[in-house]
Amino acid sequence: MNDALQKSYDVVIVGSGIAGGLVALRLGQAGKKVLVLEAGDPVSTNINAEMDRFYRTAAKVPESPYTPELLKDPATVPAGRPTVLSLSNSEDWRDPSKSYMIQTGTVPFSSTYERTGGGTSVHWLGTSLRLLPNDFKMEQYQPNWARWPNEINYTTLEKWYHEAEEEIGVSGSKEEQSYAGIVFSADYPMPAIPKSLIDQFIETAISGMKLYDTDLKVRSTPAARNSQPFKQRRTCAGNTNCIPICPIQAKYDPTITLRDAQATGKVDFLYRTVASEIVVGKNEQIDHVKYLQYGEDGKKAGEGQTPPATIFVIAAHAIETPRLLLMSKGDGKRPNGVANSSGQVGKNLMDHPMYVPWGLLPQSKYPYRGPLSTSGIEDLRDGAFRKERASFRIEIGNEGWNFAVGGDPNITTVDLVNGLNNSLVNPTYDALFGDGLVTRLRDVLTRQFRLGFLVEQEPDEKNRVMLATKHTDGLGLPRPEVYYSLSDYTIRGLAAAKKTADAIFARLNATEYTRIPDKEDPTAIELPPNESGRRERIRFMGAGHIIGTYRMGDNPKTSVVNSFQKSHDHNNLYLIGSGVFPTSATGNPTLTIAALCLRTADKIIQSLTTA
Amino acid sequence: MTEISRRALIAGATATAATTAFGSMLISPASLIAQPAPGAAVDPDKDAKVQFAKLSEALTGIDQSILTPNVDPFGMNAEVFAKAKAADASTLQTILNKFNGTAGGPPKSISQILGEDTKDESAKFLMRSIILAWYLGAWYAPQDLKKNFYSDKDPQHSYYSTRRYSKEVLIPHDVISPNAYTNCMVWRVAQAHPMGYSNLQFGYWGQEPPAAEMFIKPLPQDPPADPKKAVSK
Repeated sequence: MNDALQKSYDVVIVGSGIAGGLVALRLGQAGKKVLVLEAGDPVSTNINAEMDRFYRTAAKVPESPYTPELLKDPATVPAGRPTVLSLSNSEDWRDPSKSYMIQTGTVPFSSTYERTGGGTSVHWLGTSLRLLPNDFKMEQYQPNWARWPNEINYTTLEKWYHEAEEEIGVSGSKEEQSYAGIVFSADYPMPAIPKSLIDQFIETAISGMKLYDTDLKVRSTPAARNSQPFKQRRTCAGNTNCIPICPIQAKYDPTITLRDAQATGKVDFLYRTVASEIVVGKNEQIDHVKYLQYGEDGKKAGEGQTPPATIFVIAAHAIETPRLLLMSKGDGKRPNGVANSSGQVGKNLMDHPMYVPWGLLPQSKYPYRGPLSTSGIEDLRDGAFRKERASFRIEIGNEGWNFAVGGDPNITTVDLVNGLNNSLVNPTYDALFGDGLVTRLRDVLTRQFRLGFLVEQEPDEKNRVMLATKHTDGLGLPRPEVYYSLSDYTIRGLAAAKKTADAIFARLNATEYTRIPDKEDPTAIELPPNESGRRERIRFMGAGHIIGTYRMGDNPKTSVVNSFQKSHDHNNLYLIGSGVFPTSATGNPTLTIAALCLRTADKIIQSLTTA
Repeated sequence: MTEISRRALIAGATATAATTAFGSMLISPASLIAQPAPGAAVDPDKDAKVQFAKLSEALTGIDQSILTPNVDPFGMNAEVFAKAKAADASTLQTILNKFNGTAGGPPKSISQILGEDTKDESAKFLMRSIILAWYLGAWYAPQDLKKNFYSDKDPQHSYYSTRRYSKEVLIPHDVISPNAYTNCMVWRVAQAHPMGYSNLQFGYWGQEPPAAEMFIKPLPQDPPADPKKAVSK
């Protein structure tokens, strides 16, 4: 599955996720010669293998359709990655024989990523929100935080947001998404996905509700999901499976872009090819990338280096990109790695810590239907309170307790058949069968719902990616070591999220079933005392958003790349993806990744054309 | 039904009509289980499977015509039967004999069978495995269910006395097959569809699903054709 190489390329790209894929596509469309290195397996010719893997697996975690196989010792895997199962047990996150990342922090870094053709967004939800104008201007609230470059703000990015929406195909309503200063130069390419019954119920119940001096509204979430046939892909049929895989590719995923890139005839791919070192040549220009290759059997199969190229782009997401930069020590001449004169490479690791409360609605509103989420409450993403505590957005889930309890409807069904109470709906440990089981199970399943509060995380140098000193992967490369923690500012945001959740649940007349975690649960967070002086304890989860580890900025002393995602240190090196965000902001990052990368691609094409 | 339309059904062209409810529901994209060729060897478990379907109806609360439709390209009854037989053939036979009254004496209800269970409660846990296989398309072995349960009568050996309260129990299980996953019953009870498999129409999620009974009970029968009316060729 590796293409024959050209004698030279215009651009080499490491990583075939959404960032690398979009740059490869635009360059190929402009007639430039591109070589893409991908650590993982190639994109399948159809998704039957992935669907089969998914149907057969008992634990239907986000990684379940994709390779490499789960549950192998990461020391033996050539291109490993963190997995949900290695996080969900309270001991495994610190066990190097289970966890690919060596975690040394106070709490687990709780988001995972893929190393495979198409990258992590093969299993994204599809949420395509734009960031807010004030997200780019956090200095008004937090003058000490690192700033986005002057050239990157909502106004300059707006046309790139539109281009990204057109390229990947986003369904949305410009009217519903006009809040907090968001404006649109043009409509979304497709109309909004219809609201689910649960969205409609919540919308009615919270009508007129005000919190933190703000009116709350349920708004359909713009999503890379077809509400009409688009670019020869089908309309969404509500498979309720966006994570981990849409069986009909009505949800955009980057394998679509990779196919389009390949179709230009200008883009070559090397799969199972792990970049191991970026080699700097004359004048601090990148000369080539060294790589290791492995076979389908997972064993090392060779090594090599890229042919001559003008420009190099690293798009390996926000853990693997700093890892590669730090590994590139130039035979000891660069102890801090490549592109790291600021010392910021690997630092300021952020996620959106997520609080997920769940419960039963007072009436049947039929979850497990439609996309996993179709609406959210976006009104609390901005405000003067950002001086005191982190803000958040609210996602409404359509998948019952599937995500919340980690495996429903199985957990609840087993409870009611085998007389257990993991779900907490069976405190009398009833074991039912026949009509009694049907009635009781139907009553619970059709009323299940959950919310998700995605909280902005404060940037903190302490939270960082380094190289593990004692743990290597199957190719002998040092694995990433991660230190992660949540600051008081972020925890105050989680507290506000809990307070908001409680108020919404009360307004819905819902019964809450959110489990209070054990004190020993590593993801348990003690909140500051509430109004009655009580300290509540909640679990947080990772949102799958990996941010900040090679941030953009105008000052080369405190940032790694400029507004075009170009390294301050090396004139022909670009580092792209959510690793460039100096702040985590309040929206899912993918659309912003896409917008920034289309802007970068445009810049690269210009620079190749004038050269 | 004429001979022609029955052949068309077996060919799978209109398999949906044989399954149930509104519109098309659960056609598995995985391999359709082939009908046995004429003259193939007789299945020694043929009668047992028929009895098993009746037992499964009582255990699951879902009508037999849903579990084993007349035209059955999915063959879930055979799959679950095979799992149950492999797990504990003699207990399965005992249950079937009692339920169908084949061992002499009147047919017994599920509750009666539970009341007469052996000391090691093998019937109880095998029946629970069968229910979960139908509902979830996954096999939860009887011995694993037995290790993880709570009983007022036996708190000393019940799960909740030996584990911390808030430690959740995950009972190991294997998906029986993609076929079993995409045809299992829990989604019907939820008036939904299997996650990862839908042939519903765009936007359906904004509207109420069909009534609960439509998912688990047979469709009302069409009145028989009037033999006095001429059928146009």
